[in-house]
Amino acid sequence: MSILKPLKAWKHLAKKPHTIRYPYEEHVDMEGKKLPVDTLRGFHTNDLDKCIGCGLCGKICMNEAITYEKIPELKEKGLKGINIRPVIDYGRCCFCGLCTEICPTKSLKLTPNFKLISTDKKDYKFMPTQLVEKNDDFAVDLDKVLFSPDDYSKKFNEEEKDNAKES
Amino acid sequence: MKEYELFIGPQHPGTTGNMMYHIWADGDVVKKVECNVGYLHRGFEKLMESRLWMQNVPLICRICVPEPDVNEAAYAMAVEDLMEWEIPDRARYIRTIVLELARISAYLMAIGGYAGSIGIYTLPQWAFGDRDYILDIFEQLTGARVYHIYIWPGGVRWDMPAELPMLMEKTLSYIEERLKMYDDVLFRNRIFFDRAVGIGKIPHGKAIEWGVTGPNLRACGYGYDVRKLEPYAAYDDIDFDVVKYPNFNGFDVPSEGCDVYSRMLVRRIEIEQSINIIRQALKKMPSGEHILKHPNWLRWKVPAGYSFKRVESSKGEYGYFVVSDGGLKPVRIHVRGPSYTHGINVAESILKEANIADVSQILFSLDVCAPDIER
Repeated sequence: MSILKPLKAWKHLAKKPHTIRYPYEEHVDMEGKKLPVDTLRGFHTNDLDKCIGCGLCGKICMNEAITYEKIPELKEKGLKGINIRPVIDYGRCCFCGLCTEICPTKSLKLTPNFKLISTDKKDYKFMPTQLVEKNDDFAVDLDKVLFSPDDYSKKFNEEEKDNAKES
Repeated sequence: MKEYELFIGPQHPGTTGNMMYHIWADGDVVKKVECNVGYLHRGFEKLMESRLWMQNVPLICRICVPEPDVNEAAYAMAVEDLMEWEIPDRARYIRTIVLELARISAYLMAIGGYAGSIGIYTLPQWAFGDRDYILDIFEQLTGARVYHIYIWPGGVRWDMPAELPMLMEKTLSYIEERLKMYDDVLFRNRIFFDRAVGIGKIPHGKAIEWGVTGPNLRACGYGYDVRKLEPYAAYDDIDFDVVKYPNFNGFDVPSEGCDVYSRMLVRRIEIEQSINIIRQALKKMPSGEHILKHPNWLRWKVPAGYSFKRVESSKGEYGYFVVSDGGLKPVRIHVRGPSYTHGINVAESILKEANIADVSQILFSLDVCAPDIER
């Protein structure tokens, strides 16, 4: 029991902080492995050719995040199932992954990609396709969102004016 | 001086979540306390009645945020009991590891929060930073950092990756090393000693009557631990001693127990105990299957009956009472959260005659988790 012992914490002044400048610096674990790993539960990917439109993912989804859309190019009913494909509302999705576990063809999968930046809530609802890969255009998106406070207020005022005109 | 009213919460760094303590004080001394909850009621118990057995799994982990895995484990054990399933040995060991990692991360959060409440702001930064290394392990093991949805009825969701034990060992030795710094800054610090000893005492003999469980009860000198009394997962194969007052190996034992000091020290020593348990489990872990085959989730009927299963969480004893009528959905699920007794009954009683400056450290030492009071 000592009053001087806490002063040992000063030695951390010479150490590197364990916080990182997240989007710009890479997040790694203790062994230097890059995170997120491939097993992270992020956005879905769906192989539209493999998918048979059975609708099980929508039935097990407890948040009712999955709805279906018709794809006119496909046959309405054929050997490869019916022509509906899941559309996922990421405002509702909790990334539990029950839909991928129940998928009979394993066409629906989760990717480690979890970054989605948008000011429009409609962007959160889309049909996952095979094309959803790791989000490399994140830096571009970031510039769109992380602008200086002055720019922000300017943009906000302009939008307000537009809204006022419309109404 | 005239008595006055004070509101601590619902948005206050001195409470352990969105809950409110309505305090009547005379000068600096608390005269009467009333706990007000209701800011976090999400109706989980009712919601579970309208969902399939498997759909409940992603829901229940949201009941307690700092340590979600205990919910999954208790629910899974109750369902397994109703299904009369015997889970694979490997799953039992993986569950033990996950539960202990979750315990360490919850204790780090509790210790960090406590240190903040007595004005040592260095430790919260460290504890939350170190907790993140455990979340890195969870991310690689379960696919998520906080809500893991990993312990399923019948076993665990995925098998443990082969390279993960190495990362775990590295993280555990790092945390062991860091605990020495924690001791210097908090547990062997004169300020902590002067602030915490003899504060927030649970009166002798009242602890059992008030329903105190977990580390708070062990700090009163009772060796009560569900892991020992009613072993679940792989705890019966693992060798560990229950940490209780006054066996604080190496630390000063100045008080008569039941106070803030002993409650925090029990948590501190149990981090080392958890590290020891994880190491043993990693060594003894057998190979084999990790989960039993599930029936079709959409038509999964659990046989009629009821089951109560309990686990030892970092907050206390956590129980799930599950009733089934043989249908697709549970008829009733009741959650016994440890914070219900600690946050309402115990806190209201022991906050009386405390100083206002001590209110938040007493609350943090009880490690109340507001979301599990109301569910």
